[in-house]
Amino acid sequence: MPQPSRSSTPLLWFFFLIATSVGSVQSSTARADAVLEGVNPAQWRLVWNSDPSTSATLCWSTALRGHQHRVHLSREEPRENVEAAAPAEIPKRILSEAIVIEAQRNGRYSATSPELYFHHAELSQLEPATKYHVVIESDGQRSPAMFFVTAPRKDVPVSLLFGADSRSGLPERRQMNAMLAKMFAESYRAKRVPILAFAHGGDFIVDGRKLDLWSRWMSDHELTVAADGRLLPIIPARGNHDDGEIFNEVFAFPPQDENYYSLDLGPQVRLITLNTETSLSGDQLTWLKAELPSSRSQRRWLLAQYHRPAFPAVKIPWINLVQWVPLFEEHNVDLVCEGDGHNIKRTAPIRDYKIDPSGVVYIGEGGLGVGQRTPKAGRWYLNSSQAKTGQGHHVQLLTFDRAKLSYRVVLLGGEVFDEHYLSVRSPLESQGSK
Amino acid sequence: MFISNSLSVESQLVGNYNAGMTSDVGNTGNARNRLWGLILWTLRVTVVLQCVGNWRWLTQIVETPLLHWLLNPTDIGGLAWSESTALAIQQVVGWLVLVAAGSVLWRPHVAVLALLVFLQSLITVAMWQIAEGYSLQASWAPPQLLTLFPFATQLARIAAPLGLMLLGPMSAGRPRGDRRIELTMRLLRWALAIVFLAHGIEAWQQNPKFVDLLINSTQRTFGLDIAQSTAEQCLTWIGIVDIVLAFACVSFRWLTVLWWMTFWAGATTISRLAANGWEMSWHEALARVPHIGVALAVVLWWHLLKWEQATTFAAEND
Repeated sequence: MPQPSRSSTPLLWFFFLIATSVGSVQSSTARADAVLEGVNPAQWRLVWNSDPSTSATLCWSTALRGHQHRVHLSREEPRENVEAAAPAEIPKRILSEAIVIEAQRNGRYSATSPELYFHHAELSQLEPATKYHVVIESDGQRSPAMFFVTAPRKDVPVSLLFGADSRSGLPERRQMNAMLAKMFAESYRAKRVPILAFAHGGDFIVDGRKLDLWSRWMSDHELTVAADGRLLPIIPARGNHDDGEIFNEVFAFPPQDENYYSLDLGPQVRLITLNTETSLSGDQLTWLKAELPSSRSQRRWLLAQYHRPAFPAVKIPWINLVQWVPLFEEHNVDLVCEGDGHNIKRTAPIRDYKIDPSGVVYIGEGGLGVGQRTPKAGRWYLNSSQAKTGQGHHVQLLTFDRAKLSYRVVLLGGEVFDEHYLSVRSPLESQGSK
Repeated sequence: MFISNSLSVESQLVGNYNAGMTSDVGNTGNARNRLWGLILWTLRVTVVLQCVGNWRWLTQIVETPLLHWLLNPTDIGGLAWSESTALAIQQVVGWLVLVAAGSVLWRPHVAVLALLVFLQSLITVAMWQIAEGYSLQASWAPPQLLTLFPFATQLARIAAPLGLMLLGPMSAGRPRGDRRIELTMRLLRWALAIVFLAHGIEAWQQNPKFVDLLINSTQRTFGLDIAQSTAEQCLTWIGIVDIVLAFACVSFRWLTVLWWMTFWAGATTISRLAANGWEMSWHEALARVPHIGVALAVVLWWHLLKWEQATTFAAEND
């Protein structure tokens, strides 16, 4: 795939913006997490796992079971300027104009301790590219006023954050979350491409059966909410440490769900989330075989995310190398996001186990807090001028427009470690012909 | 016949066996020696192959629970060593394991076998500490209890060198005392049962890795595509059979049960190669050889006891 020539000017420009916006993250005190006691709503998270232009699931936790759990949802009218009101007035205004949606799913997390309850309010029939204000309420206890924006239906440039492996390095995890919130808010300034969501490639915590670890992660996740109350939607993938039933309770999947799904970030960007922790060769493979051709033929950009890497920079390949990679190549997936290796990786484009300009690029490997490993840069798909590896807590920022996919690795502190572009594939190539 | 009964019979037969060993001469004694030697060689070869598998895992594949335990930060159960130190230590350990394999093949020494028992136990502790291996699901049980599951799944790998050490491999013609043989064989038998029970539970809970193993090995061996639901149904039954075998092997002395366990351990070991290819998984297959070797050692021991019983009975009738 031909690559546009690189220029250092955008890099410097981007570095400046990021550095000025997140430079204070490490030194400043992170906002206090919501108090998790009684029926006080806490640990809020907005999950995207179906059509994000018309739906979202707002999840939260309470320490006691409570009786009535609901969300006040208020659609911001296009000409209305809610932020212009005094901050103290916003919740009142939202509450007066809101419709009330009862949480459809409430229950105790599947663990003997600590005692903690989940609440999921599925918000559906939303308007695309629209701002919604929300206040969570459990038995009269209310959260601060927050808001989110649904995914667009128009073909406009959009951005997505990708990261993985937040299971250890908890101080760094909190710093990374604060940085995500800053980047998220920053992207909505004039002339920037808005970040729609945050795709987490798995290994949220170290043992998915331990609710105390999940509880800490959920509290830390509150730090991804921007200072103005903007909720960063999360698109979760299950990692090898995220085993057990609690994952589905945290992210509002049905109890027995296998956590592979796809969604659109606008009409031209399709993100397929796969699960390396369930059967790769069974139903998931059948689903993927049907999903890829239909997605490819209708979208300009096609991505996949999952946890265990097929082309790892440190570990050995998972069996998705055999099961999924041939399909990615057959259907010309543009970019594949992987976690698990605890380093920074961008492979050369790969096809048929060779470097090929028309091949698939694999990025990621995880650095949302976890300690970093030394990548094995001598591996054939990394030992190339078209590849790059490194170490450091980081997140990948992906920006999609009509002509190119921009990829940047932003380190904790704001430095851009890697920058790369992929051109849009030719229509013929996109439809699966090699 | 319940456990206590079976063990008392076994204990009595061990006595007969040793008596025979010291007094008997000629063909009968030689045959016994050969069978006893076969038991010891079964365990020796098992440990050697296990070592070769571990050597590749530790030195070539590198990503092991041991390494991750050394690397992980202390707040999640690791030792927080530097990557370079952890890698260097693992390389040293891996090559020591290969040297140990040569030693066991040539002249097994108690100290070498003790080292292997220690290493295999250390790997299990690492799995426990960093929650690697199959994640047992039981929301009613405390997670701290569930994290102990690797001790069940890994038990045969620890028991193989331990059993060989206890049996005194260099005294093939003169086995140790009755009590030691009895306890060692009991240990191997229980280790085998616990491993079958653990893997039976995994199969019954439809471990996704087992599902893929079944689908891929069936496809590559027989060219048959089976649906995930079919594989899961098969696994449920495989799990039930494994659990029944686990209980049967410690409750009764049925040779058929042990032979089936030996065969099944072999089939599941080979299925790794069939499903994932030789290059990707030969070390995994070798690391699982103790499942076969321990079962085979116990079944040969039972054959020996049965033969002894028949010989004693015939001698008394004469």
